[in-house]
Amino acid sequence: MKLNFPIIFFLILVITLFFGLFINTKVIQSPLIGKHLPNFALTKLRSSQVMSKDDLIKEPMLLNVWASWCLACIKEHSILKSIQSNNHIKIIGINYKDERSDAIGWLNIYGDPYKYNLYDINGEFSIDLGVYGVPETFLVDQNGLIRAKHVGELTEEIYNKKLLPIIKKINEKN
Amino acid sequence: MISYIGFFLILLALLNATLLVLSKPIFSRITPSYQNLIFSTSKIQFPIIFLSFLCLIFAFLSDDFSIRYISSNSNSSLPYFYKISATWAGHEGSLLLWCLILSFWMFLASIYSKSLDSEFRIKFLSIMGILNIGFLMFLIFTSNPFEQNISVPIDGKDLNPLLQDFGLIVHPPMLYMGYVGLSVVFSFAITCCLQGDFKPEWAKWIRPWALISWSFLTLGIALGSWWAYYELGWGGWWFWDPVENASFMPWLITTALIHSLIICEQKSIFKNWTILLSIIAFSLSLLGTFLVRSGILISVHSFANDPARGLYILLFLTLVIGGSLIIYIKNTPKIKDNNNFALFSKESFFLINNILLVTAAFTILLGTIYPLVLDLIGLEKISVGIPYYNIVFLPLMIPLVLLAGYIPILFLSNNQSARNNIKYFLVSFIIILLLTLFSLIFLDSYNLNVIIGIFIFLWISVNLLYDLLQKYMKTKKIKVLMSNIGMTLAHIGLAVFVLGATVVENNKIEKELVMNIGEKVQVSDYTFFFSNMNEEIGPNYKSLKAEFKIYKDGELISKLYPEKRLYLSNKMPMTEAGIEPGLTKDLYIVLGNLIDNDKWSVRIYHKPLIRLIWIGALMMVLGGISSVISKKKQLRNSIE
Amino acid sequence: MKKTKVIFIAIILSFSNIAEVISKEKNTDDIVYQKLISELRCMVCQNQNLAESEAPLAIDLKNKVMEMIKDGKSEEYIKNYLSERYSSFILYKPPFVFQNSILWLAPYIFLIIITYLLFRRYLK
Repeated sequence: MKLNFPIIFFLILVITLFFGLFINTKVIQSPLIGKHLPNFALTKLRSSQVMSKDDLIKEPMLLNVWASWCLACIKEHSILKSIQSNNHIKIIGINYKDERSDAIGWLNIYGDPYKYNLYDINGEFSIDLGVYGVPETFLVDQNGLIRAKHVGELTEEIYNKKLLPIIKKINEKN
Repeated sequence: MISYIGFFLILLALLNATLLVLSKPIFSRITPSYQNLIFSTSKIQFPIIFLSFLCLIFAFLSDDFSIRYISSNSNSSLPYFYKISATWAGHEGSLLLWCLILSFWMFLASIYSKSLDSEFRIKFLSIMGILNIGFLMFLIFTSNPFEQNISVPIDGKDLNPLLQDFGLIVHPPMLYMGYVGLSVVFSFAITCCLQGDFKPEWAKWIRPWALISWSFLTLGIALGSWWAYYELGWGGWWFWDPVENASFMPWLITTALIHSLIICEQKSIFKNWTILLSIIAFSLSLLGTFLVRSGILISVHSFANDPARGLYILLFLTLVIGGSLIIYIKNTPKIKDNNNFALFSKESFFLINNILLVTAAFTILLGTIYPLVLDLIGLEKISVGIPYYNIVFLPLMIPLVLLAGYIPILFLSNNQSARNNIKYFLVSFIIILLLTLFSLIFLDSYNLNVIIGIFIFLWISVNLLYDLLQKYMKTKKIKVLMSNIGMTLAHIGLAVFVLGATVVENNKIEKELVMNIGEKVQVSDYTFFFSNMNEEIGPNYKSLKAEFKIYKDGELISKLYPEKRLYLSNKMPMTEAGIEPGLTKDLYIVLGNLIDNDKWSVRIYHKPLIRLIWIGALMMVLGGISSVISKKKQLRNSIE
Repeated sequence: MKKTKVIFIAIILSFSNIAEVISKEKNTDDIVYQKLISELRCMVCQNQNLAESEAPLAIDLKNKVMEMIKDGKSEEYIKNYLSERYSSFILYKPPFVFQNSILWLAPYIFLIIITYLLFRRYLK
């Protein structure tokens, strides 16, 4: 019996390692999915109007965390613009640790798909959202529940496969 | 041009290894002098690969950027000694180094195995040949260091600044000498299985090989730890990072193995278990190679990810380990063991030593692989780090180190009666306890961990030194001193390590604050005065160098220069810590970030007795080597 | 034998000088802070703790941790706060929940099993 123990243990190890080669180890699950959006008190980017969670539009929305210093944000910007022009869902931006003037200037250059932007100057709200890799996109439903999250640059494929089905489900329920 | 020669030599080595392996099964039918073929091929492998390695070094020194490995790891402005060490900085080159060292050990095994039975020796060397083939094929098919660039760049990407460092020059070769040395033990064990026997003389023969591999592993791990301490700017010396664990697991098993071999030789027992340990030790070396190079685990240490390479190593690993385990299971029933020892006996305690070490290795493997397992099942990703190992691993070590201070003398003394043993134990326990309590007078606070650390240090050192001196006094013979010095030195090295680790981890002082030039701060008995900040230019970097003056009791005792460097090729800011090393404590300063354009975040550490960690490790290395040398001298003396 | 013992103890007593350097400073906030940042993982690094990391997010989280300590929050509170937002991945000490039970228990179960197996095999 003792003789078989090493072989069984070894087989389990090898199988684990084999499958381990093929998974993507970089994606970390968010514990906020299925929970309510945390409350906040942030000014808008373009004005000094202070917004809180209750002021958010009572409909499904995408919260997109971005910054003018973030290169990948430029890449995902065209998808955001096309989402906005197709009117699938409202996009609200969270400008992360940026200079107001830099951010507004960036939007002037690349276009502004956001209904409005919240100015998270010190990243406090983003910490509450568990943001670690800008850009990040959250799908929030009309009740303020976080339904999905994507870390990294949003692409058409990811939007269609990951977010759109859930958006459709939310809209059906209404 | 040079790359073609280098690659050709690797192919030649593969051919040579194939000849070696095929000698017994195929050439033995053709000619009786096939044995000479085996002995020659096993020796010539080393010069062949060594020449190939020289080609790679030459290519680095001559800035041959037509070779992809060189353009990725070097730069024309890189200092020449780093160009040489860049040879093993990346995956392909380090693999060539691995093959080189493998051929070197096979060379040594071939020369020094003349005393072994001929049939045994043939199998032994053939198995090493198989290992050579496996690694050379891996090199040729997935990791060719001589691969050409499609277009030749003007200059190379430069060596990662973290690797431009003395510690990182010596650390890999030492570690590989250890890892690969275990291949000798492994091949030996498999041959024993195939022969269906494990004579005590064989245990005696293989032990020096295990000891030397163990010594190299200890040295390699200690160098890695020391390097991480002064280079990474955190003041930590062990992180339980997967790559660190990959080196520590074989170390633990090899430690168990050297103890098991002693008993095997003396009492002709634990034969199957010793063979299994030999197989596991080298298997863990292979596993370590896999973990580091496949990209499967997240680590600062790992080479660039490549699942294709990972797949090859996994396949090789499976064949070698799986095959050896099958051979083990099939053949060990043939090997007869003397199952006859009392519960309170030397054999029993050595078995406990082995059990604790193997459990420790298992624990580390579990901690390293567990996050991956959870991820595969689809459960939440977790991290397993220092807190886990402190809780699960450390308790296993306590009985182990206590035994280390007692068992070496218990059964080697002349008085074997149980009553004397108990008397001796109680007397030494009380004396050490008193000494520990005495040392508390000098402490400010009573931290239980530190007290235990001091007790363990005294328990091992006092007992072993006393025993050594007593033996010498009795016989007045240097011979007696010599034959025990290795074991004593190694165990006391362990004691020194335990003392250093316990004290520094429980009594270290770490302060993080924001400072302006001209400000000072008090840490422990020292005043740190931020006196200056300069810009400097190095051979391939620009640096912001801070000056800190350190005062104790009003006197200037040291100046430290922590830096923030920007390497020209890399754009990665690197931190160079300012360290004032000392036997009793280290003072350590790290520059953080510039805040508000004129203030700096600074970390200041006071690390008491931290050097004992590496001094202890060095003592263990010396102990291991002494054991081998003194045994060789004994052999020579007994023949004369 | 007595003489050797005495000489011996004398030598060893000199080692006690080492004990002098062992002293501890009593600053609780700093100590708790250093402990916490060494047990929390940097989310954007290749396996480093917050203490070691200079990444912007690590610096922000370190500041947050210090803020919470000064606020009087306990170690457990801070760890919960962070793992609620970043998942248990940020904790270097895996939580003792069902899916981690093997992780925490297996080492000692292994110890018991291997002791039993080896002694049964070899002891007579």
